[in-house]
Amino acid sequence: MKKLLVLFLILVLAFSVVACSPSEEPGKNGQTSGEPVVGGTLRIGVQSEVANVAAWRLRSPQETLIWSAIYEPLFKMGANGEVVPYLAKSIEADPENLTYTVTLREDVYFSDGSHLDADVLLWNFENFKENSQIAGRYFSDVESFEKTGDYTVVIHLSRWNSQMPFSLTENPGLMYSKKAFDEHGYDWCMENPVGTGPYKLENWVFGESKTLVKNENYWNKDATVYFDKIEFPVIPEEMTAQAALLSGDIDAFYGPSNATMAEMLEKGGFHVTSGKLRSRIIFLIFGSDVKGDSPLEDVRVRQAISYAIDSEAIAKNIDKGLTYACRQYAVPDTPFYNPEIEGYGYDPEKAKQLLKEAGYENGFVTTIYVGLDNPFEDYMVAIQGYLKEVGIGVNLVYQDVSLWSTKTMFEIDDGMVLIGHGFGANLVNQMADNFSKRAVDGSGMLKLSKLHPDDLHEEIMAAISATDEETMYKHVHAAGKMIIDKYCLGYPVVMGPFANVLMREDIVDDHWIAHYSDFFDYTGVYRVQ
Amino acid sequence: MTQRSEVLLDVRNLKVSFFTHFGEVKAVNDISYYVNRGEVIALVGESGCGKSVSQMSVIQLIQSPPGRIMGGEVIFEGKDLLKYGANSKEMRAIRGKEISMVFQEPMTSLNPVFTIGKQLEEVISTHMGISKKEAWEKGVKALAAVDIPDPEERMKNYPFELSGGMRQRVLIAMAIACQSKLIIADEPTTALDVTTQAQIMELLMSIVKERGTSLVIVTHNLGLVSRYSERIYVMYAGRIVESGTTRDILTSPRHPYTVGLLNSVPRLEDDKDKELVPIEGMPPNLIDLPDTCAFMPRCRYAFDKCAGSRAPELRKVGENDHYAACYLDAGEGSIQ
Amino acid sequence: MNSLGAYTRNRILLSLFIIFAVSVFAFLIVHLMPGDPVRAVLGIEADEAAVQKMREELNLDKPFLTQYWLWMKGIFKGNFGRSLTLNTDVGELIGRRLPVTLSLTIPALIIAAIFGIIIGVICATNRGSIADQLLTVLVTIANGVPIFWIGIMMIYLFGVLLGWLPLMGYASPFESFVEYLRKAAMPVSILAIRPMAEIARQVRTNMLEVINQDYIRTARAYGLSERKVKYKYALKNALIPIVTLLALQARDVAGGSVLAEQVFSIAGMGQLIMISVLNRDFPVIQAIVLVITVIVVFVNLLLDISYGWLDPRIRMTARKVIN
Repeated sequence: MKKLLVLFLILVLAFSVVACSPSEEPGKNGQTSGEPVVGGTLRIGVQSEVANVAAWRLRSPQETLIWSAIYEPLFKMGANGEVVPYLAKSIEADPENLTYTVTLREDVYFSDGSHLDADVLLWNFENFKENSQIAGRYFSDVESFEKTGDYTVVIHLSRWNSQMPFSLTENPGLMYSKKAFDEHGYDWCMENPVGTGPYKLENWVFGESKTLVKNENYWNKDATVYFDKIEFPVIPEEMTAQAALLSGDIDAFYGPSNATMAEMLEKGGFHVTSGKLRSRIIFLIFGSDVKGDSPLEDVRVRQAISYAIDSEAIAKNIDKGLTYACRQYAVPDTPFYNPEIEGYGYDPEKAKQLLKEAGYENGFVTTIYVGLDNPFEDYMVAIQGYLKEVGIGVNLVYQDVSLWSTKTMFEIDDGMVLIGHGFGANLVNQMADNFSKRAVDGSGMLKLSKLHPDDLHEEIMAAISATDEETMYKHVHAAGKMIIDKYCLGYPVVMGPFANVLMREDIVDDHWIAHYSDFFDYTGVYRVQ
Repeated sequence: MTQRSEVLLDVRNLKVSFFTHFGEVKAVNDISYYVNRGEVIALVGESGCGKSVSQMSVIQLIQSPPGRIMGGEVIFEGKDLLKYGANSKEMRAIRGKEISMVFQEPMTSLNPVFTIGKQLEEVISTHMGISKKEAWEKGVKALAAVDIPDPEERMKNYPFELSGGMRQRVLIAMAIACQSKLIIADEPTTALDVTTQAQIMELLMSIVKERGTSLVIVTHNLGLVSRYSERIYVMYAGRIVESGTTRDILTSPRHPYTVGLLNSVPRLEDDKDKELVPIEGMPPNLIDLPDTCAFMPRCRYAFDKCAGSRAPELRKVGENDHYAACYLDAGEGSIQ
Repeated sequence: MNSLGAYTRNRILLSLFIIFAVSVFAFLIVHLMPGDPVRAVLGIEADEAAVQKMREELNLDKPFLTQYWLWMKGIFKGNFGRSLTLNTDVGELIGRRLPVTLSLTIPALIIAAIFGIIIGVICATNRGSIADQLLTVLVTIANGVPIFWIGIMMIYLFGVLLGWLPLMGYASPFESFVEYLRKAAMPVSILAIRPMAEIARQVRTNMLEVINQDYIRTARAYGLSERKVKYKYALKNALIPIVTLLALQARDVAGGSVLAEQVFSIAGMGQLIMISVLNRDFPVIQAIVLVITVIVVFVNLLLDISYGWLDPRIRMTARKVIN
């Protein structure tokens, strides 16, 4: 027995000697003197592993975060909502001939050394149209693509679509190496990213971590690539991520919950960065059935609901100021924003009055559906409370995501759905997908709304087929007004930044996420001394 | 018969108590007895009179707590065993080798997950310092000595494969395997059926006679005692109340308890109409025993001296070292 | 009479049957779950054409039995299908993650068993002593505290405050044994706590019971040393029910590993189970259920057989009593 005890003690000692090693010093100097450091590693924690790798398959925000370091788009968005050239030099619209002509820069190279030219561009376009699961949203009006020069490709439309330049700032604009495809085939490309960006994939331990290294052949000599390596460890548990940030194990964490953000900001030593243009809207859609006897069929009822909810209070109290109240389906400070839309503030008296007018003085009971994978409990409870004040009883139903997606879910007869989705430059396309008559068999999320009035449809279509920007914006504004003021097809609960990254104070975001594009620019982030 | 010649075991003034929530239980309250080499004696008494406890104390098998040997000497071959610690090397060398004990529950006294052979071999090799193979051989021989047929095969059996009688034989085999000088058999046949009882006892006796082993039979069964033992000690409430040769005790018992015991056992030669006379009353509570004679409440012959005096000491009441602890004088009326 | 042989053979046959039954059950459950797995993967925005294409690729348009048959056929060839959400071969996925989880759960069980038995024996043989009382209290606490909370606390203590141990991730023992020890220290400890407490409790109870048995008295009466009496004669009897307990604990540890892997960011089977169920990734779910069943059945089989070895009474079907 004694011998066993001694052996045990020895084991414990040996173990503690091995286990106790000094951890990396996180460098808590505090002073950020502002001198960017070139070199080193940036570690960004993400909460889940990603499934899609190929440029034309990217779907989730995590995928955007990670692969932005590898892929670059043809165009980017500017501060005033304009389309800015990047990999492409220009895009020329010819409404009469129903074409767009895209001209590439001539000095762009992929990390595998291949050159970005018209052949490659052509392949990318065709590949996207063929293999992307959201091709419909962007290329449904495209008839064909044609190479017309070493660096030019023409897009032939079947009818005019004013959104093409905006579309090319998003997924369809990402360029993948054709050489890689030719050499390795489609399946290989689905698992290996090859792009023009400042980094390339060095190592991927599935489920654990990815390591990206500096692309030595990066074509963009004007940009500084600060970090030698970027690592993306997978940390499914938010509390562990918090601990990792505190111990210096990671430099940043993507997609923290509002609670975590508030806590860490309070602790000090951390700050949050997020996208400037792309926003996330929490939207309450009315799934009214046109022919039914649902109270929601009456626009006054929908308006009453909108008046009953206090968005400012929600933004302040639930989200601690990290979101804001926005009365329309558009992002403020962008050209899509229509200052003439009134929207619905917080006015419970008016809500009750409208209900009375509609004949529901004694209120009624309805249901709100929400997907299980959304952290919307707080919103749900708040909305339930507000509606109760005006006499509307609400049942909250949590739905499994896959149940959402089946046809049966689309045909809810009565009730509302609370969803969150991002939008930015692509507003018009999303409007078309969700509110126009295309919605019914399109690929939008808001096809749940049954109401697709003719005039709204007309406006949206007019926006798409507008041949100049001014006209387009005019129609977008009109459509926006109809969605909110006239028909009240949904209520914007709150709006907030789309991509939130919680990071240490010594990491500076110059134009990494905090800019107007969909994709993150990894030449815009660095650590300071 | 020469008394006190070649004494093997001499127990003097042994006291053993158990300390419980309710108080001190004086299970063994100052007993003295002896066993000669090659002798067979019996320790007789009812359940709870302290006979088992006294024997277990001889080899210090009592769990302490709650039990404790309060005093006395256990002199075995000239050495006081009580001077050794319960788990000391010396005691362990005694147990199973010099003094072996056979318990009354053959069904549960063998370890169910080891074979008979393993258990025998373990005991033998512990004491004899020989190889496992040799110990195994000795085990086989021991089984043969207790008349177990096919001993080689039986060594490989597990206890549950054997009947009660067989298991008891195995336990006896264990007791004789190391050529013990003294075997203590605590109610060796109580758990067995009548025919088996006879077999076992015959076996035990033949072995004992053959090897010159001393035997202490602890029992409540007077029939056993009459046939096999040479001397008897009668115990009651933790004390020895009468001692003497078997013949003397059976033919002229001098303690009322012994008389009562004898009267309550049917005998073949008795008239079938003769009534059995049980001893009235219950055995005493061993906690807070009064100073007076413990048997007094149940004694037909109790008289005024008994109530007024301390418990009587053993006094010689006959030739051949016949002692009884009673105030009734010899010759003061028969107590038949 | 080689009863052990017959006993073993029967157990094996039973196990095979169980595996088969569970495979059918697993398949049914996944396919009868409400919700469309294809849409769950492609997303709500996906268009009909893409959805239909995927449905065909996954054989979801074929009749039930055909699907089951195709799946089983694939399994026998070693093809477990392809994960829908993770874009990899399921066999590869499991092949990568299973060793990870095993390298954490098995040591946890072993540690739990060893220390549990030691603690239990100490408590039993020193009954009533301070050590016994203290350990009993600790054991009771260990049973009540949730794994999740302990995990987070440990991370803060050892990872953030003291900086002794890395707070997440995994390293294979074959690549760097030291790194493996450092990273596995916390998760293994957490997984071992409950089983250890339970085993200690049971061992203590059993030992106390066994120590009072007549055959122990016999052993003592024949001069066997206390050590031998306790650790050979008593322990072997006391451990018999522990074998069954281990089987139960193995299941608990497997369940606990789901949480532990989440908290410590370990890419093992636990995490895989969680993700694949949430994502309706049915090829993975099916494969996992099958693999886990096989493992559990195998472990139970082993334990059953060792049970038969430990306690000879179990193996005997016809008890021939020798007179």
